Amino acid sequence: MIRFEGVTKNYNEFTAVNDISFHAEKGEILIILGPSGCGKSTTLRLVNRMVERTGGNIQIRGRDIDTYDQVELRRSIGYVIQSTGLFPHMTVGKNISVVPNLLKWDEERIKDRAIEMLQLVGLDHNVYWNKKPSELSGGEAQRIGVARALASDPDILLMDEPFGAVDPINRLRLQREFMRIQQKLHKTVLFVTHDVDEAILLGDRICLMDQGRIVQIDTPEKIVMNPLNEFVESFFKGEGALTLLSRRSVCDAVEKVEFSGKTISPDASLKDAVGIMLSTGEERLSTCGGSISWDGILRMMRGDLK
Amino acid sequence: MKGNNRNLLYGAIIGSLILLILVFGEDFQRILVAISGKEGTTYLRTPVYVYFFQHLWMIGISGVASVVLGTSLGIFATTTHGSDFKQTLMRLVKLGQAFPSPALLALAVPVFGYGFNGALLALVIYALMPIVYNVVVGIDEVSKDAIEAGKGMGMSELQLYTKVKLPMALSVILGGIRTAMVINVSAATLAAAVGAGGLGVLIVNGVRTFDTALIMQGAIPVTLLAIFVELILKWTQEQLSWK
Repeated sequence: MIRFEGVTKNYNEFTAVNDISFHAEKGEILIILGPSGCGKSTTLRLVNRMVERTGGNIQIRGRDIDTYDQVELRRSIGYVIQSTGLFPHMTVGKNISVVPNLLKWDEERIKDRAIEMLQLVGLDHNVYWNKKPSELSGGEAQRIGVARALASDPDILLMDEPFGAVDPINRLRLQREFMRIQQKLHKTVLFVTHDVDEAILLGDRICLMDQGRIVQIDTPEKIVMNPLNEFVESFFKGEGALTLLSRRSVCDAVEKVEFSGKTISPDASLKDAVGIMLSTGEERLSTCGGSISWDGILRMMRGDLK
Repeated sequence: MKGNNRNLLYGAIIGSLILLILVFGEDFQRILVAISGKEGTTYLRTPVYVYFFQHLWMIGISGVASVVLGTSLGIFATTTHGSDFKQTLMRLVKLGQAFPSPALLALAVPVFGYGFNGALLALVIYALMPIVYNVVVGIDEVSKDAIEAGKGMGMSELQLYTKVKLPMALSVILGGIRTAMVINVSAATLAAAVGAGGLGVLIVNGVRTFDTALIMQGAIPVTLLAIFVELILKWTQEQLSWK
């Protein structure tokens, strides 16, 4: 869906992106992870030509991006930035309708679609439609940012640290909501972050970058368990394996063992379950029509990591 | 409608006062003569509203011209094509605002001749400066995030102006227009000195003959008009501002 072939971006002497190649498959979330200044944002912005590359080729939907009209290209790609970039002089409704308006949809369709998008991100349109961005909390503003990016139903979504400015509790909520939305919509997503937990939680694959180059590109399980070099290893430290638990629901490790003790919601992740088991000293938790145990969790994770 | 309509109310009061003076010009004159206590003052043969409308016409024309010219110049300076020209323009504008208006008027006369046209040119140039300045500053201050988002969503350069930059800068731009108009109401009194008419005629003649009543007949409507313009434009600015 998005293919980079030997792409380079130079700013005078400085090389921000250095000969990178990768392919983001249709419907996958590809996380671009790395320390500040590693070129991850630049890589993202090369796709919608907010930054023009100096070398190499980029194809999206099998077509060279240079063959698209720049404005049309951008309208066909959803774009979410950390600061939300909501227009302060427009209401929430108008903000969400920006791209459909640019695409000259008829008004009724725009309004229906915008209301649908508000529902998708879990906000009541009766409450939010006429609000101005200044009246929103950080989490709400970011939801509107996502709703706006999805409004014209683009098949590709570029997200530049979309949840970076939100507090940790709301961030986790937004991440889970985003997973739920993605399971419904199956967009091809390039997602830039410097947050290791976020990368492991959300990514189908993680592309780790350093100094303008791709160091390793793999599934979260593989990149954590089989780091290619010391840089990758140090980036995930020991916590990476623990964070992998957040990708799995408690139902994935459930055993058909009746247990009448403490219960945990079937929506919880294995990481939540381990947290509860550690803090309460329980060996087993009832959930998902059975129960989970230390052994079961370990067995499942070992299977995952092979 | 926004909460604060006090400016509109005060504007209406000042507006009615002006109307009263225009309608009852002769009584207004009689009152001023009585207050000044000077016998044998020459009464005006032309009613005050004639001077008032000359004045209004002058600031109206120069106002429209300077708004059109100033906003286009300012917008052009903020585009990529005008970026070379922006710094020079801003320096010129800052310098120009420090230039005394009577001197500007005096310089305009040799170019456009004595009378209405010369005065008009000077007023347009003078009003241009706060407008250009605020247009450039207003657009420059539009948040980079909003511009980034607009571009990233596929707005053309023109749409970026009409949908993002100009609406967001509108309040600052209107602030510049307000300043320009208020300055122009009083600067237009000087136009009388080059024979362009207006309420300044009364003031200039009054000063020449030491006639307080005559001076006040010009000065009071000019002051009220300046306050009126200030209040109404301030109200408009508040109505149109997104903040």
